Amino acid sequence: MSSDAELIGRSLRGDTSAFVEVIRRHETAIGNYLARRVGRQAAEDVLGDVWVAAYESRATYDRSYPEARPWLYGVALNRLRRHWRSEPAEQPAPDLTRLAHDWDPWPAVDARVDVQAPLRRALARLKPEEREVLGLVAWEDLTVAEAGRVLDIPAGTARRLLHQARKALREAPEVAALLQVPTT
Amino acid sequence: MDEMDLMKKLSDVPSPSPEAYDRARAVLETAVAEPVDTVVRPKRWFSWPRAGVAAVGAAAVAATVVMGVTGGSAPTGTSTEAASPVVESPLVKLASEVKAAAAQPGDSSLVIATKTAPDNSRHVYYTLYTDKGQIFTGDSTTLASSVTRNDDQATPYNAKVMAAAREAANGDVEKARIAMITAANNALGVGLDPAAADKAWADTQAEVAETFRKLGKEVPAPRPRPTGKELENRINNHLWSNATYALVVGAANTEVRAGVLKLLATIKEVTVGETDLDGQRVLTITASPDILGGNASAVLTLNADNGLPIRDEVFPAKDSPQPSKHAVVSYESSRVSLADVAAGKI
Repeated sequence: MSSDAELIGRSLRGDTSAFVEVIRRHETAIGNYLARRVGRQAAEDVLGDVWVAAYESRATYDRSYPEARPWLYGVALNRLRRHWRSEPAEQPAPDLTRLAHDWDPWPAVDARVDVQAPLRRALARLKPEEREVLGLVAWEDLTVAEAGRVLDIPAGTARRLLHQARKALREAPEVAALLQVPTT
Repeated sequence: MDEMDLMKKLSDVPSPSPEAYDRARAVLETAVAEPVDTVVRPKRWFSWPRAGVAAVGAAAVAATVVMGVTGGSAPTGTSTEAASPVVESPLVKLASEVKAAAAQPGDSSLVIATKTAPDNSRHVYYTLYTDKGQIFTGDSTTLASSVTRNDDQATPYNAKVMAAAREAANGDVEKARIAMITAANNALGVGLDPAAADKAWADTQAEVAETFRKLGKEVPAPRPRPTGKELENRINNHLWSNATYALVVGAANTEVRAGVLKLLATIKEVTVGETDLDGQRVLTITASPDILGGNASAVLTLNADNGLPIRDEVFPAKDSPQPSKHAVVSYESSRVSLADVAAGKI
């Protein structure tokens, strides 16, 4: 079976079905990733955008990586950021550049995921990049290095962020209670 | 149980429906199935992705044709309809100066494009065009590896537009003009006799219908042949689209740049102005909505002394029911050595 990288290479040479095959392989994983972040309905709305964005940027795919799933998470994350930013605001944002940098989808996620309230509260206190690495590793079963690829950060940085996130969670009183371990 | 086990308990959410996956794939298949030009060619900077995403239906196909990325439209019937003499223009004068200037060092053109999306996010894109015709793309961190892996992105379309630009710089401008107009395909039948032009038109109509059939969508009614001014606008749309594409791929190649300037000078709907931008003398080349599908005008700003592109800006057309969004791309171009790029020195 051809690797994702080989299929993307064929797609760049004009094989129109090759890229669709890549998407078929990973659509469930990416669909669930989107649903975990924006809910099912919004995930369904943006899924087609994600595929087209991936298709249009496939020339930038680093074909030294055989599997494209981490790359597709990155494309999906970028589309999600645009999706949130493009939602109508009640008041015009005074400084869109700053808004873009401070963008943080997780409060919305927290509101939608109505389980384990204590854990959600603890997650909300993490830094956005810590939560993203944690989510990619815990929910998407990526390695830390792959999570780094998704976020376009070095593997060492991703490892540090995961370590910080896990430590902060363990030390959060509400999580510690769930784990039934002392907080000291 | 640790904190990672707790996290996994949050992972179960309702997945998208099977129908949603089918719809999303159909959107992709529509984008992929657009005629070959859009598959092999980087998208136009002023064509935002969402325009392509919505491209399901005859209206969308018509729009992309006018934007010059599918090229499928009407034949001319005669070659003379495509002909347009090179008029005396500041662009022709500048092209002569570019051609006469001393040879620049290096063996490749590097163009760094910076696009600010409507959400204010910045996208920087490097395009390296070697004098041998290879094209490497990426960003500041990936371009070198693209070169070392010999990940040449040049396509037949690229070769055609660059050859047409060189032909305009060095040889027959009218021949080059037809080559540039037809670089993606010749559904317009430019330069063909009436019978061959009729066939080109019919073949394209059949291709469009087949694409819609494959996607399980309603086949749009065949469109009538544009004639007269509409036909001329479509021809000039292809010329503008393909020539400006060649420029932003290989701007720091003297022949490509000079040739593109001469070709743009042949479009009547293009006006040239001169002004100052940040203290430097620039030429503004404005394409009217007539040749951009009616929804936008475009202003290409060049350094008036060397012809290098500085900015490409799209403005919504005032009278359009669906005006394009304002968009800006800035360019920095330079001559570089392929070896230096491979070594990460750029």
